[in-house]
Amino acid sequence: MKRWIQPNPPPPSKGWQSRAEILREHYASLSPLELLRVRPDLYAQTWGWDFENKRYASGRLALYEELERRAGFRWDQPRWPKGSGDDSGRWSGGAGTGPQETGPGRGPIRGHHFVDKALYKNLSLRPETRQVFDEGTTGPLHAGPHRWSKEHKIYNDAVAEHFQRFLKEHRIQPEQMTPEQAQRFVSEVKGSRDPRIRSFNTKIFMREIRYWFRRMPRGSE
Amino acid sequence: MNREENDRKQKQIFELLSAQVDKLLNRFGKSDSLLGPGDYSVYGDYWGHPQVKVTVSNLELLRPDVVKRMQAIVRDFPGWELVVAVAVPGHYDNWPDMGLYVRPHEVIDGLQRKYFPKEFQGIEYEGSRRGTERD
Repeated sequence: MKRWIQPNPPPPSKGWQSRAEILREHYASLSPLELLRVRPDLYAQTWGWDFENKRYASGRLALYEELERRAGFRWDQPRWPKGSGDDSGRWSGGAGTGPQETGPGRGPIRGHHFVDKALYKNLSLRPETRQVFDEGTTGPLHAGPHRWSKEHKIYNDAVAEHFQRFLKEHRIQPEQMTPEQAQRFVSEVKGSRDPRIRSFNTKIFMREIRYWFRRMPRGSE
Repeated sequence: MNREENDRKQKQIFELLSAQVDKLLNRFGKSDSLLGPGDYSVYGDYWGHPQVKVTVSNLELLRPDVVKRMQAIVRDFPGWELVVAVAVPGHYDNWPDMGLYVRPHEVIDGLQRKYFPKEFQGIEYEGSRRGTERD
């Protein structure tokens, strides 16, 4: 009788792992697309909102472009213009049968400034401090059109109140604000627990997630 | 024109239109700032639609002559519109969302005047039509 010999060595012992560790390892092994499907919150932490490390734009844009490629989107594909009955707005099949409508609303854009430009445009800030506010955005958004909601005003009121508290706490005037202080202020706005700020930022974020969920390939696509 | 060029061009138009509207409203009131609330605010972010959003907190800025001037500005930007939202401090919760769409050829009037003080209840805009925010 021939003795059986194990063809491959057994995997090294991993030792005891908690459920949380196993899950963490599993999530880390997923592609961004898979992670977005199963845990959009973790996806957002990793790919969506890491402004400080500048991983937001590159990571997310690359993923979006991949999603669009898979879905077969082509930005320059002609669409049926308004007034074409049920076909209005639909792709014309790329055969050039309908005039191309290259209207806005589809291209990448810089998105929402955490500190609205309208609020600081007239302040006498140092150029490098102003630059921090200029660059403090969500990154490209695919938002719908504006309506008559009061949410921007409510958000801006809350940010302005926060700013005045910030100046008071640091005993500075706007013109004395350093870029580091501006960065800190933007970070505080991003992580604010003020419901007026948090609900607006969350709304924007959730809308983005929904937008991309609707465009993700499904099944064997 | 590729997507990036188109987006850049639209953003330039947005900046130009926003600046002109801001300049106009600045003659009639004060802009919101980080140092305190004002009478209006021109939202500074381009979201990819041919719109500029203005929030008005002082009803004086809804006077027909001001709106007429806004329309004169937007006439130079075919396809664009001003979304004028009413947000008066103290009435964020008890007034519904309302406002105007100021377009080159029309004004969509969605103001709910019953909430306004008496002196503003009779505001009318020449060539306007009543509408909703879905117009």
